[in-house]
Amino acid sequence: MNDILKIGGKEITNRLFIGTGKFGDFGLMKQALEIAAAQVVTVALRRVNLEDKTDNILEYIPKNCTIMVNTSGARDCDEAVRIARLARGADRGNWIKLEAIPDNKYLMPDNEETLRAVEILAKEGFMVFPYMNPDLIMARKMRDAGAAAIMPLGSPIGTNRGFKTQEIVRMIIKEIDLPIIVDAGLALPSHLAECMESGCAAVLVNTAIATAKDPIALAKAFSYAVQAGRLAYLSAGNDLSDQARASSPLTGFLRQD
Amino acid sequence: MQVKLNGKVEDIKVKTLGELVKLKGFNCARVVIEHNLKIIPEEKLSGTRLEENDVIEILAFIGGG
Repeated sequence: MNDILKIGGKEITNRLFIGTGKFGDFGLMKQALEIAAAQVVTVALRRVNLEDKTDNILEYIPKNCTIMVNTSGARDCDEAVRIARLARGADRGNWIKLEAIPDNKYLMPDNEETLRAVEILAKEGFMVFPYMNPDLIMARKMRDAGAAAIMPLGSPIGTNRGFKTQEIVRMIIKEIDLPIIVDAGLALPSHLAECMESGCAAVLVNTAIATAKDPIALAKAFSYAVQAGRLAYLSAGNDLSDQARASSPLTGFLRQD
Repeated sequence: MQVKLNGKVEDIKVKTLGELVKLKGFNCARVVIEHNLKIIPEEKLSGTRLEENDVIEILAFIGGG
């Protein structure tokens, strides 16, 4: 099936985006990215540890992958914009996963600061992927400000709690004509399938794969789940119902009445 | 002179950003350098003179979600 996702000026076919944090080693990460045939991969930008001369992570990311630099560490609009510009200065394309997170306990994004940063960065030609606490009105404002996609959280980062924001995200999917990518908190194939069945354009997973007992096998499982969920979304067309609906015919019963 | 490098005050003897990067042993292909909040491309490093109290950030990509 020819199911292409047009996003950020590119055409991709793999709807499982993978984050590169927390992997035990880069070799393992590379194998996980390869087995999932990842096409979109996130990285972060940090101060170089002046004593540490570890390997360059970019060398372990397959060449066909689009790199999306996140603005993690930014607490507000100004910090996020600064990181985005630095990422572009490092010549890594213009895809930015925009995060502005002032809260350390739940890592909840500040939607207002994020919106301000979308406005600035979109005008500067970035492909902006804002990470947001799902809210329809805010998603609409981010779209109007030039976001390339919307990335609502499924549950707080690293919690593995799954697609808890489903009701609101479904609303956003229905109303916002941009790719909707659920990001954060997804940890099981069923979580990913649920997102894709709901009509998400893609999902982004990091912690669950990186910290798995076997990241390579789990990456493969996640890849199947995303494909299954997507295919079901495109083909099923079933609604929820409050009432039972018989699957066998209600005629020709072997009974007297 | 004293500059602030990645948040830490350092006493340095070199005069340009290019010399500083070389002294610290960084591969320019993998770092991005900010000098007083301005991004300095690789080809301009040796032409960027350092002054007292300059703020320099040297950053690189790491794993992140």
